[in-house]
Amino acid sequence: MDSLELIRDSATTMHSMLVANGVDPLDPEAMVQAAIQDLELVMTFLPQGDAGLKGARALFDDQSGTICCEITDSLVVSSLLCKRSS
Amino acid sequence: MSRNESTARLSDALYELSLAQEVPDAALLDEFVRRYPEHADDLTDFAIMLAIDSLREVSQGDVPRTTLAEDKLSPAVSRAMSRFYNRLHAVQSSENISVERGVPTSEIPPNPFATLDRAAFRGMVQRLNVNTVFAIKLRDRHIVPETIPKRFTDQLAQELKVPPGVLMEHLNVQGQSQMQGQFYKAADKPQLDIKQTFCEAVKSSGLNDEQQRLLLAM
Repeated sequence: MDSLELIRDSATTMHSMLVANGVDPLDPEAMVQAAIQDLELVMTFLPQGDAGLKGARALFDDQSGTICCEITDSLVVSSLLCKRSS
Repeated sequence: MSRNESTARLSDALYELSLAQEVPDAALLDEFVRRYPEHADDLTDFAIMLAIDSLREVSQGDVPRTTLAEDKLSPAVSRAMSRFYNRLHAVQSSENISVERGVPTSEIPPNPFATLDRAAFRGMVQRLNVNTVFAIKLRDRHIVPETIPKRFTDQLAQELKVPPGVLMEHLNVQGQSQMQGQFYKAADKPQLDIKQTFCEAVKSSGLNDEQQRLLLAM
């Protein structure tokens, strides 16, 4: 078994569930927002280099259930950063 | 099964065990030992290691026990369970003895935020009228302690149910706090030594205007 398979499985399950609930799979921002809402997480955008990012571009903090994401000009990049850190 | 296959199967089992539960308990270990009986010893050692790590975060906390159908346990599973609890008991006892004798188990003072679960953390955030990002910066010592108003640290200490001195001791530790359960998307290693003043943190954490005004007026 690929060690990432469990993560892929849960991501696939969530993707299918969100699409079944009417979220547009071709709209990455909508998918991210819907997933965050479903997981009861909080997402905050911070300036590049902010202390809250700890040198990362995005960060997931489990204790508070918060995703901190670097502010970028690209909506696609922001969505990818949020997806990969959650 | 070849040696390579066995190693890969062990690696998968350990990885799955680490993801299954934040702190493995006897029931979980029982399930994994039944599924991977050939790796019972390695799985037990790994579960002990994970449990000890969590004990370091939540010092002196009781280890959750799960009711087991003891009469259904095989001898191998029973031995694994027994080793698991014996080792945990030994670690907890030695830490209790150290505390009773006044010997610090670590030079780093306890993190008063560490015992909060997500609901408790968010409750604290709400009552302090801040947001989670600001609270994370406080928790992880990204805010220069000398710049935090005393009125705010008193409120925070009250929320954390610790004396203000204990909170200040945590905030004044040199070096940054590394909480468990932080996942990064980064090109380099995390930078844990970035510091902000209280004022900078208030302005850069996504707090609304009213929250910023109240915090800066302290």
